[in-house]
Amino acid sequence: MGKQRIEDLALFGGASTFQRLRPIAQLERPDRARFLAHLSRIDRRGPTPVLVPELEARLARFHDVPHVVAVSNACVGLLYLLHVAAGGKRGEVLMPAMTYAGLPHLAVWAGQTPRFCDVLEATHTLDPESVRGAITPSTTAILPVHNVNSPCEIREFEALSAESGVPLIFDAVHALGSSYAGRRVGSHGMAEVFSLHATKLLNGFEGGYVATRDGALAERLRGMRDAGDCSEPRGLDGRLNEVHAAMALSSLDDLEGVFDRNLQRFERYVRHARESEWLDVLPYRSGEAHNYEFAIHRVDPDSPLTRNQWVHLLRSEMAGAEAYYNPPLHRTAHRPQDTEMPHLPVTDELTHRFMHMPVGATVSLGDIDEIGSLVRFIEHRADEIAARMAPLSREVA
Amino acid sequence: MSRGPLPEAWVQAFDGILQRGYYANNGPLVRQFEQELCRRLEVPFAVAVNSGMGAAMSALGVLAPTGPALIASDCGPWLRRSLDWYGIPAWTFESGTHLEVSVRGARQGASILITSGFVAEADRVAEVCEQAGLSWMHDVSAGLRNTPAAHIDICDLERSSLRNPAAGGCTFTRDAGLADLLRKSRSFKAGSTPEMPARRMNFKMSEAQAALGLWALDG
Ligand SMILES: Cc1ncc(COP(=O)(O)O)c(C=O)c1O
Repeated sequence: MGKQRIEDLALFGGASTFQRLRPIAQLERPDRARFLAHLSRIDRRGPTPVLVPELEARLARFHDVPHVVAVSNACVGLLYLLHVAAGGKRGEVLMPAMTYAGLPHLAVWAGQTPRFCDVLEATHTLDPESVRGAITPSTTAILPVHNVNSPCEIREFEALSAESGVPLIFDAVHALGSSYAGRRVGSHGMAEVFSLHATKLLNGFEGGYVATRDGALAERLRGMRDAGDCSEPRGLDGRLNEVHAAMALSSLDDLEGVFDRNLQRFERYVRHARESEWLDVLPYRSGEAHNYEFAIHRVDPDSPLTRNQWVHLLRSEMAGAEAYYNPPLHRTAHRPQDTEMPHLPVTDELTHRFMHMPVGATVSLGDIDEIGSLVRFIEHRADEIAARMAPLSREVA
Repeated sequence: MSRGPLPEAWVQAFDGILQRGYYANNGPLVRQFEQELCRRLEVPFAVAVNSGMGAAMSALGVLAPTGPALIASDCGPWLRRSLDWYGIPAWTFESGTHLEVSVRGARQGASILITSGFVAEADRVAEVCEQAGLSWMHDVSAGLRNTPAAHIDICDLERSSLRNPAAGGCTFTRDAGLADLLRKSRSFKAGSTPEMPARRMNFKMSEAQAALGLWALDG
């Protein structure tokens, strides 16, 4: 039943559009028989992994890269790499501020200070020029993050890394299956890191992996992940367990299906956005392959409702919209107190504009149609709703 | 039973997970596993994590030692490596001499006692730590049945008698405040407060790890 009056909105006392929250998470359920078949191949008696090496080999083929090291999650993989890149030095890791909030924690674990750089307006990925200006003798790593809509400017970063000698690590968690210059990401820089978390594209419950062309690095990472009995002085138990590998293998069997279903949902959002006055969908970089994991919407600055008000309204309807990377990390406690506030104008502007819409296996095309109708209803009464929302918490506005 | 048919209990547990569609992020099985550990070990709080080192590192983050660690010689290398990530110097002592060592170590500037396995006169050690202002972290992996004694007890579920085939770790405490901080330090979700460890990590246990932890407890 569509909404007729403003009071029908959940925020003002009506019934919510959905009974259960529609999340922003892939949450793909693997095929049961396939999963149990993989599970039954685990050697339950001995410590020797069977499925992890198989998964690593398949992922290496997928990315066309000689080495893949599976780990217990992407954070662990990134931490190993930041530690190796630092080579025992204390310094700075250059990273975007408009990104995943775990990254600065990882820099600190590796004995480094996070230093935030600006992003490009078109792709929201780290701006190579901003990074160039921030490189100093104490820079120990450049950590660009591929976004779902576009990988980073890989060529520029590789040139910058070669020129400066600073190791380059790509966070590729949202770029599984994406291509850059026609080639799947996974073989660039010192290494690229992917996640196997259930909310991501390959569901291994939890997990992650590092893809690299560097055989010596892969060996070193293997040493670090077996911390209990390795010779690597700075280990951290980070093995992917066999059960998680069984799940990831089942998920890998169906990865193309995941991309297809994501594309269908994305196209449905695009269709609805054509009828919307103030919301449009961030396009995927043309001419490249994508995984269509997210449907990121831009709120027009002329919208009577702010991005945060949109998020609040949609969430009250159990459509789990979320602000896209907000607040930016340079405006949080992640910026060390003794450092100056960096000037990141593009980040500061973009961070108020975008929101995630519900995606993933638990969101049907019918759900997206409902969200589309809800958006149209809100738009027709946007001024009135904005006026009613004004006295609500200032935080929402 | 290396690669024979899957145990029926596994099939049931994983069917449940697939039906619920809840795979990670401290789901219902993780909570159930924690409750079961609390019940069996008679501790009020258990916080499950993804590995033994995850348990040790989150415990250290929460206890936040400001000086060297007194570490018993029978502690596993993984425990020592946890100290390395914080840059905490390790003063090794012969296991079995916990009491004298705690007293002497505290006088010399140590700020945490780390023990493993059986601790003679555990109550006295706790008392001495309290008086001397030492934190105490104890590894119970060798005998999960030991009732926890330290400020935070930790366990590696793969190295313990449980031998969880999907690995994992756990911290135990009697202190509600410490339990709350331990829970918050296994992911990045919690905001920053002055009490929160400044660095956090993805130490989350998955539903699969919890399912097999529960299975191992029953075995
Ligand atoms: C960009 C980015 N990097 C890293 C991670 C961490 O991945 P994991 O959960 O596997 O540790 C995430 C997870 O959300 C992410 O979005």
